[in-house]
Amino acid sequence: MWQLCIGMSTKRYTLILLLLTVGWLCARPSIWYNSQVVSVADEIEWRNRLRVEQRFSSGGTLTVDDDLVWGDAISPERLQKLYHSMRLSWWQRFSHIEARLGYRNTLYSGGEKIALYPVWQPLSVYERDLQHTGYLKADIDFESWRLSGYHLSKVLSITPYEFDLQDFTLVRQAPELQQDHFSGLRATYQLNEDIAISAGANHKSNPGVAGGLFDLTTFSLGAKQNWKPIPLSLDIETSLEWEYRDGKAITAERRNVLVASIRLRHQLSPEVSGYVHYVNRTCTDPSGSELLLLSNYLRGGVKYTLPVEPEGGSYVSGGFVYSPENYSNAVFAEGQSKVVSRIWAGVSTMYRIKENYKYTGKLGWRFPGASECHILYSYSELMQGVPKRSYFGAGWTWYY
Amino acid sequence: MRFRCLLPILMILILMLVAFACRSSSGGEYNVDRSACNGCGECVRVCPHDAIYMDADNKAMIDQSKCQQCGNCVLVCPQSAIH
Ligand code: SF4
Ligand code: SF4
Repeated sequence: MWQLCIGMSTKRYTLILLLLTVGWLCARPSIWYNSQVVSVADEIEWRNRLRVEQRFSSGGTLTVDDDLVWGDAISPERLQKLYHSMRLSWWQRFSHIEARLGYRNTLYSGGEKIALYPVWQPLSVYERDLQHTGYLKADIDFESWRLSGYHLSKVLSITPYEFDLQDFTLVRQAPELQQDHFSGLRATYQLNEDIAISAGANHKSNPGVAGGLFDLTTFSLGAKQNWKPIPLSLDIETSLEWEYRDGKAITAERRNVLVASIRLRHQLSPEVSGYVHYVNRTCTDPSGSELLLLSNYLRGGVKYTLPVEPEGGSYVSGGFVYSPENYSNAVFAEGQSKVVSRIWAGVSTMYRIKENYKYTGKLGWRFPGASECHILYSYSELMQGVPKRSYFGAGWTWYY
Repeated sequence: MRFRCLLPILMILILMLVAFACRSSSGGEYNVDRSACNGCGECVRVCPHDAIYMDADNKAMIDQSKCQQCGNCVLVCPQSAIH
């Protein structure tokens, strides 16, 4: 079956996509489409996002997400010239069951050869070609219990290249399939209105990889508390989870991981809202006798909705992330507002301390019904040593 | 005021304080803040080890068995959701 899918030509794949889209248009779904063309130095990049959603009277919802990114050169932000990911997803709620079934097809083309498995095969590099992902997820509620289960299978077709030490060249090998299968089960028991405890197990297998190097089994026990001291205004959620991991690729220190988190959300007034989220991960030393710090993650933000438009489309927001262990400290801010009539302007900035930054400015025109078109200018540095990128772009968003 | 609700919060805060006092582990790991992830897929496009996939809720997941901790995904995430 997978072999058949992988062998499906790009033309047939596009035709199926087109037929599905046309069939759907006849059913009057809600559609959102965004397209953007940017020019960076002498490169062009084209980004397209489409979401089509159809709700049925049976209670089900069918969604298509399509994401196409094409550039005429490989950039550090995109390891391939063409990336096309299309997702079909079905969501259904029966009386006590909520289920989601989906399929995703991802096409990589004109890609950089990447060292997918540097530890395992140091002299091999790969081109990613086509990836099929299928999943099923279900939650069953029964009195104070909730049972959740999922399965996700990912099949990636790759073209391996092996380094010839005599000629110092890369030699193309026969295409291969890499499979990853993920499954999991979790049982949650609601002790009272606020507190729930849970236990779960996950297994991931990588058939075909020698010695099960990337196989991973995890068991977890957790407790979660959700407290709303001021309903609809203040919400505090805390959780604590212990996870045991068993897998050859997991270092001895990361076998036992303890994750503690606290999240606070507050609607201070109709215009002002804010949140703080803190996650702490600790693991144990190989003997299991000492707690070691894995990472901290503190995130906070506030948003002020400007009383300019009744739809609340004008706002300013700002926030920060503090995670020194993983070099992901950042500050970010964003704002957009109506300038006059249907013209609006927006600015955003993201500054990752000592790593990179990006500033963007937008000027747009809104049509009736939330559709819009805009021009933008962005200036960024992805990482130190990589030339700074300054680009102009134009885009439009269409709602139906 | 329901004091029983304060108990788990206090317990977690104490745990976090204890964790701050710990020495750091020799290696790290990256994870995704699911509430901040918008499903854009930028991280999937740059991961050189095919260690990120989108789950059934269209949120990025890091496969800890494949991740080599290069940090590329952190640099491109527009939401700063990877830590
Ligand atoms: S880049 Fe960030 S926001 Fe986008 S899918 Fe990955 S984790 Fe989510
Ligand atoms: S740190 Fe590197 S290898 Fe790990 S998930 Fe991110 S991009 Fe992939």
